[in-house]
Amino acid sequence: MKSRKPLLNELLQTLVKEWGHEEVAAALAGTASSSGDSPSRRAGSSKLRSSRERVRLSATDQIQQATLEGEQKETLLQLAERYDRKQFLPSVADVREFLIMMGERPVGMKDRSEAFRILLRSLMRLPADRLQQFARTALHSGPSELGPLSDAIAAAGDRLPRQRQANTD
Amino acid sequence: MARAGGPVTVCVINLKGGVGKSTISALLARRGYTTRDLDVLAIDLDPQANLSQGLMHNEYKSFLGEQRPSIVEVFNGYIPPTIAASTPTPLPPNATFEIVAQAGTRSLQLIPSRFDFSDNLLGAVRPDPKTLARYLSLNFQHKDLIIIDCAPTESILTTAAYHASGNVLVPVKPEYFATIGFPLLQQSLDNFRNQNRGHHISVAGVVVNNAFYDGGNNGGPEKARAMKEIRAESKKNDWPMYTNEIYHSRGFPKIMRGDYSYPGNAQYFFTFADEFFRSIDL
Repeated sequence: MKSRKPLLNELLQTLVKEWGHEEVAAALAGTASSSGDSPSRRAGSSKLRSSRERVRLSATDQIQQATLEGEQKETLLQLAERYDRKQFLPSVADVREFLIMMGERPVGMKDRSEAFRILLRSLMRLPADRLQQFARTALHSGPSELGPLSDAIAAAGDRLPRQRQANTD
Repeated sequence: MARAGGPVTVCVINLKGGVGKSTISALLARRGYTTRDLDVLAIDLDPQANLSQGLMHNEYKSFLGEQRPSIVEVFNGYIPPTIAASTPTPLPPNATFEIVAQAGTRSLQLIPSRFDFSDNLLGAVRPDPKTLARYLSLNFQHKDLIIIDCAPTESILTTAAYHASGNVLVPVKPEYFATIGFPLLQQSLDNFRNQNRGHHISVAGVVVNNAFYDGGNNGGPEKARAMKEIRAESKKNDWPMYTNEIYHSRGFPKIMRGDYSYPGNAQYFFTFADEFFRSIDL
């Protein structure tokens, strides 16, 4: 039988978005006590709450809890930390574009923290060198900041006169 | 999988500046890769390096800082000494340059430019304009599409782009001085054809990059005048015109900067892009 857990999670997410986690939890507790819910069902509710909490895990936590190891885990951790600091794919639009560039067709992606779960599936399929390249570079760090770019161009320009001087010596 | 006839190579050129060459090159390269599932190489032949910045965004800074290989090294034929290697080293035949995106065996690669590009070449003994064509023929036959973004002034780099291309795409803005670059371009192509009889190069088409806001103002009489001139000049040169214009949109500069939040009318770029890909059998 198909699990109904995803549906319950989705309903709970909607409630939490509207009323906040504490209010929903309090209401659930109230419902449970007024309906004389059995301890086993209450335990079930508690499991769902923790399932809901997992949804809100940071990118770093998701990597920590995933069954990954070695170099792949290290690299993904670096990326996840940058993701949490919004230094890697800083907006949900960036995540969507990134997935499109990876050959995927993301639909209905609206929440950046939720998007990491989908992103992770794609990142885990990448070869090690490509993954390391993302961790190492600023290729997906969001819109260009022209100040640092200008500085880099100026710094590269600074090298030129010395080269020209050297050529004429 | 590589195309049977090798890659289709298109140079995007107009000997007038500010018509959207780099933006159109970047968007066609991206669209070819994402929606047509093509294996794409983009080449920045403009020392202003706008295509490079439009595809690499913040990573262009690292590219400059780390002095990674660029179009300069393709023309020079070697990588100059670095801190790690104190002697010139050969440019690897399979040099990957910049990988903007990758999915399976396909990728969107870029041979980026640097602002010292023309300076570097002018400082050399007359560079061979066939260098780029030779390099591509040896190393990038597996690509489906090669897009070359040209500088708006005629130079040895223009000739290098012609040598490497079979097709020319001409963007134009329907505004004052719209067709100022057309006679120069036609002359430049005629000269090239005369000097290279065995080389087939044709204008795939002229695309109107609409400079005017279309929310109740589609250019008025000025656009109408410019369009009349564009049609007349294109016909005179026997250049086909694309039916679909590129809509005016503030989304284009946003996308070039790497901001994908709200593309506005830039999302309709596909109308021209699809027509373009059909015109070159891709």
